[in-house]
Order: sequence, then structure tokens, then C-alpha cells
Amino acid sequence: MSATAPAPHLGTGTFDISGTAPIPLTRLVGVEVRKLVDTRSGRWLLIVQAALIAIGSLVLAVVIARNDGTAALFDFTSIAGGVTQLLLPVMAIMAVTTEWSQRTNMATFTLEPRRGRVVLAKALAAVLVGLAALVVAVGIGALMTGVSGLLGAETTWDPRPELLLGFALLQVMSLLIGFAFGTLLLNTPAAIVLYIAFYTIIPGIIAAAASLMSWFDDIRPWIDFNMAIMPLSDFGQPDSELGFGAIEWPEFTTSVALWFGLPLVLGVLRMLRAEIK
Amino acid sequence: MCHRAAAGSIVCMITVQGLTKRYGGFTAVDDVSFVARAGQVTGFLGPNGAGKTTTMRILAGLTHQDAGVATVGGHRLQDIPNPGRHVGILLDASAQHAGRTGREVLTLAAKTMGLPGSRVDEMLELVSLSDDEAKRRVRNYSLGMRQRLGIAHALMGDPQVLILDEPANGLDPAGIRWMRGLLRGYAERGGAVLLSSHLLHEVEQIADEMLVIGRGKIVAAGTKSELLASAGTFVKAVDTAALASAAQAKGLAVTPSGEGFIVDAEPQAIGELALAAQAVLLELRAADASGLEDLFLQLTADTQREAAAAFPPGSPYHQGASA
Repeated sequence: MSATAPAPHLGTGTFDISGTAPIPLTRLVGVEVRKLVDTRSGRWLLIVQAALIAIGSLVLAVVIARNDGTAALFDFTSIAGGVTQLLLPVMAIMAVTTEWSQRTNMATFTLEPRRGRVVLAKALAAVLVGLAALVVAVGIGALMTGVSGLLGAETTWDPRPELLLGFALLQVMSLLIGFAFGTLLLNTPAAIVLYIAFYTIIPGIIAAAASLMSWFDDIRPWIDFNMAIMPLSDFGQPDSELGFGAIEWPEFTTSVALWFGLPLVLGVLRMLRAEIK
Repeated sequence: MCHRAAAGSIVCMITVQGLTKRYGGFTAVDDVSFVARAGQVTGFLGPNGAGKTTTMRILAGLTHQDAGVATVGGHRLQDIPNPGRHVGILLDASAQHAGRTGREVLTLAAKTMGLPGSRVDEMLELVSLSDDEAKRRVRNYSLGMRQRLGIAHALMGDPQVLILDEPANGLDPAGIRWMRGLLRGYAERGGAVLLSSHLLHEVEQIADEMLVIGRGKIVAAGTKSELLASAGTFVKAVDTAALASAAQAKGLAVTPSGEGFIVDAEPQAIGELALAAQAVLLELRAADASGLEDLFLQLTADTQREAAAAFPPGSPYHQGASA
């Protein structure tokens, strides 16, 4: 071979990667969905969730029927919402943190070193599984509305789609906040504790601070996520004038930026830079 | 080293150039450069904490280096689309979800890479994990089974390069022999293997090329015979001590070894020395595997944690306390 001949095929010491397609995001999302349900902890989290909703709804159906009350679909979806608003974020947290505690992130990030795509796929997978869980939750609610009707209660099937949309938005936002806490802390117990504090204690602290300090009361609508999303959690009441129309979108946006955007940005930056051990 | 490969010559698949990684004041990898060629098994040898794993983790894109280049097939791993189809990586066989079955671990990898489910069965068969074992959770796997699973995971995408960190760890002797055959066959079909070990005898039996690393630096590199040539000459004589002092008088470095000594010189030079000293030689040859071991220990001596007395004075196992 002369010196001017082109380098032989293998002579350059490089792979020909032009023929290799990148991993499509849909495939990554599919794998992440599978990871959420292929372990005992993942499956049981969903099963326990459904069981709690079913038991709570059944009790409510019986109580309504015994008291000759009116069973409304939304009564049951609020019970479901109480459960899912706590457990779906836990699922989203574990979508991220389990990979760290079990160290499967080594395999995940060597098969897809563009870590940002993995994080995006995880968030989308958590939302998809969360939406499926909500469909099941609403289905249980519909079933129990029917059950209380069979037991002798009057039933109201409130068909307002806005109502279900608001329910879904509240649930998905909660799930995403949990996800963001997961990326920030990369530790299952710590992220769950932070989320439970956010769900239970922090609203009280914000309310107390607002009543003590008037300047804080002024900025509260901009930082209080629970206040911003309140119109969606309460608008099932028949006389309620709440709903999407009652949401103050600028305040809603800033509180979401604070509780979802900020931890997510910090968390993703950490995940992109972290040494995977 | 590899840039001028002509037709039929050997091609570098892993290139590491001036690689440096510091943790605070500690330099884990210090200006490391080496290549691993297609069709060869390259053994990466060094004591624990010498920098082998850090180097491999940088190649795998899991750790970011402070300086230098680490490429596989001419690319950073981060720049290879679907890298599992080009590079098989096993860094820690225990880093799998304890609650997943072996089959599920492989299925997730196959789905990520876009491979059919039949590939999972092929890989299970290749590493001799039975159907029954594949259905068990990884929690119940022995370390040897985890290594087999990890090797199946690494080979799944039919890669051109394998990067394996301590793959023989936990394998029984039959398992080690099996893996040796598997990797030899893989290299003979043109694949490049970089495998690490802290055990010399594991590496010397399988590796075409060896890299010895100590305290973050490559201290020796070459084929086994090249390394042995630098390991010196083993000498035994009727009066070994007299010949040793004669060699020392010539300024040669002498290390006692068994009933003889190893000297840093060519056999011919020692033969001439013995003739001049009128010493009767019993053995004169290139230092063998034990010489390689001496060399390994000597090359990495600075980094060894173990002093001559491995147990502290006062311990019942301390040498001085045995009487």
C-alpha cells in the first residue's frame, strides 16, 4: 500500500457511528415506565394507592347511603386526590432516587450518557404512570358513586370536564414538585420527608408567617403554591365559583417556579455534573 | 502509536492521553496515557486505589476528568449515539437493583438499546445463567452470578470494545477459565478488551498487553515478555552470595529471590561476570512469572498499603508474637 492511499477501513481507530441512530426519547420513556412498575416497591406503591382509595371510597359510599345523603362523583375524587397527592409524588421521587440508592444509574448513564434526556424521560414516565393512576382513581370514584346509589343514596354525576381537568392538573403539579425534590436531594427518605413537609407543614408555616408579618402577607400569593392552586382543589363544591377562572396565573406561575422550577434546575445541574458512583 | 496503522496492522480502539483527575489535593489519575488495540486483551493491573477504576469511569463518561482525553473508537462516549451498541461496559457487577430479576435487568438494557427480546435469551445462554436463575432476583445472586449477568449486560449490544473493571472478582476457578475463553474469543474476532485486575496471575494469563498502574501513574506497559525482559535475569550459582556481591561490585541492582537473585542485567553480562569471577552457574534465565510478580510489587511498592508486618505489634497474628 502506498503512502498516499486512503487509510484502511479500520486504520483510523474510530467507529463509524454515522449508521447508529440515537435512542429515541419515546424508547427511553418506555424503559422508565417499565422501571416504575417492575420492582416490588414500585408495584406495591400503586397497589396500596388503589386499595386506600377503594377502602376510603367504600366507607364514604356506605356513610352517605346510611344518612340518606347525596353521593356526588366529586366527593369520591376528593378522597382519591387526598391519597394520590401524597403517593404519586412519592412515586415520582423514587423514579429518580432509586437509581441512586441502587446504583443502577451507572448502567443507565452508560447506555445513555446524555443525562438530561434520561431525566426528561423519567419525568415524562412519572407523569404517564401518574395519569394512569388518576384514571384508575376516578374509575374507582365512579364505581363507588354507583355503589352508594345501589345502597339507596341519591347520586349526582357531575360531568363538568373542567372539574376533572383541574383535578388532574393539581395532581400532576404535585407529582412534578415531588420529582423536582427527588432530583435536588437524590435520596429517597430525605426527598419524601421534604415533600411531606411541603404538603403538610409548610402551608401552616406560611399562613402563620403571613398573619404575623404584613410584608410577608403581601408576597404570600406569589410564593404560596397551595394558595395559588386552591381554586382547583375546592371547586367541586356545588355552589363554588372556583375553577380555572379563579386562578391568578401570574402568582400561580411564580409559586410553581419557586417550588418546582428552582429545585428542578438545581437538581438537574447536580445530576449532570455528578460523579456517578 | 496508533495513528499510522497500515493495512493489516493493529488498530487502537481506546485512546487515553494525558488523563488527569484530582480529588482535592489527591491526584487519583496522574497524566495517564495508553492505548488498547482491536483484537487484543489489554490488562490494566495495579493495587487497589491505584487509579484503574477512575480511569475506566472517565472512559465510561461517569466521571469528568480535569485534563486529558479519553476516547473509545475515536469518540468520547457522550458523543456516541446509542453507545451500548459500540461499547460494552461493566464497572460494578453489584450495581443492579436488588429487587429486579436477572432477566429483567437484561430486558431493560435490550429495550434501551432497541434490541429484540430474543437477544436477552442469547445473552443468558452465553453466560450460562439458567432459566431458573434468570427468574431470581439479583438480591439472591452470588457475586459470581452478578459478574456473569454484568458480562451479559456488557455484551448485549454486540459492541466492538469491552471495558470491564475487575470482572473476575467473585468468579470461581471454573468461572475464571470460562471468562478467559470468552474474552479470548471476543478479541480473536476483532474486539478490543480493556480489563482491570489487582491480581497479576489473572491478567498475565489472558492479556496480550499489560499496563501496570500505581499511584495514578502508568509505571510499566508492554507484552508479558517485554515486561519480563525489564524484570531482569534470575541467577543461581554454587556460591550465589559471592556472585551477587560481584554483580553489586559492578554496580548492578541485585534482589534476592528464592535460592538465587534477580539482577537488572542481560543473561550474557552475568555469564561473562561469572566467567571472570570463576563462579559455577546453576541457573541463568530471564526472570519468570515470579519475577513478574516481584516486578509488579516493586513497581507499585510505593502504593502498597501493606508494610512487612501486616498486623500491628501486640496482635496475636503479629509475626514477633508467634513464639
